Amino acid sequence: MTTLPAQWKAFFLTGLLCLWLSQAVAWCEGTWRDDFDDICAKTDQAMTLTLPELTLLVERCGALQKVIETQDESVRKVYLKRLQMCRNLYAYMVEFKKNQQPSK
Amino acid sequence: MKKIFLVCAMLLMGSSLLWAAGGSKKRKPLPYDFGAVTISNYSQQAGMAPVVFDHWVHRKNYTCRVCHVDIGFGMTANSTKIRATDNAKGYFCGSCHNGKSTLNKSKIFASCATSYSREEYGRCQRCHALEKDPAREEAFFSFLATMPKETFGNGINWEKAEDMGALKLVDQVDGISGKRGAMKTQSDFALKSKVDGMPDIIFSHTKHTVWNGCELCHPDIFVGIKKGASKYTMIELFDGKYCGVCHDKVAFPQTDCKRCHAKPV
Repeated sequence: MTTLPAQWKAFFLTGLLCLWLSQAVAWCEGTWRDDFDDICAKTDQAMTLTLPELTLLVERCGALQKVIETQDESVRKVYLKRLQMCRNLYAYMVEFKKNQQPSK
Repeated sequence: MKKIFLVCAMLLMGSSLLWAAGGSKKRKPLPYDFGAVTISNYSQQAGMAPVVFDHWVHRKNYTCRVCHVDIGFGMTANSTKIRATDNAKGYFCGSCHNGKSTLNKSKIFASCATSYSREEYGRCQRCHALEKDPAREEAFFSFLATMPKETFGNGINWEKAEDMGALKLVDQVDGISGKRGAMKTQSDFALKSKVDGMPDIIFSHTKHTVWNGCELCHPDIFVGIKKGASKYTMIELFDGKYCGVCHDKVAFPQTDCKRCHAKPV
């Protein structure tokens, strides 16, 4: 079996590394977008969600905000605004539900 | 005599104050212009004319929610700070105006590009319009002819048009709108009128939630979810707050009293 020259090996490894990096970036982007879609898909049912469910959604919005803040300027402009709208609705519903609960 | 002089002086002072405040009567927009928004954040710096955005062209095809929630356009002119690069990357106008997306099986023209040839400059002028385009005006009037009429705004009763099936609005755009669950139907309710003799308001929650979703209005425009939690007056509404965020600007004007004060007496 013939062995590849060292230069070819380095070239092949660099290519593999680039491919892996681009896949990783795409995967990361896909992950936060999936997370965003999952969080904001529940705004239509905000009225019917329970207090713990709403609280969890607000927390998830906070965590996602940090991820979006690291993205490209256009992405930040669009998704931070969209996320804020979802977060504000859930946060308002939390407050509304808390006020509805009978005081102990 | 002294009293008359005092009243005259007060009237004169009042009118001069109004004059100084630029209190000239607001010109009623023409049906064609109603809902048109001029966007001029960065265009002029780039040597382009401002963008004249016609709401009617878009609202005949899409719900408000698609643009103002899913795409992320702000609710006031120039608040979004759209850049050509945002559009070219497929955000804001570029979400649909990308040369690939289709509507009713026809391709939607592409918006901004990072570079363009002399021939392509014509495409820029479709939005960056310096002068009124008679073709667009003509398109409006031929569309108007097919729609149920209304006295105010742009002369179209959009609600009726949708009810009778003349319009079928798109509520989700692939790759832009996230997945949505079934919306809990919100019941319509009546709001007590503050003026004697004026019929109470019938608020169509069902219609508004279908067009806007929940997050467009709550809590940014209406802080209260419970009926009566947001207190407001007609003065605030005419000042562009609460219902005035949309009504008078794009949705039917608030001078069309009977559209809201609709509860039979």
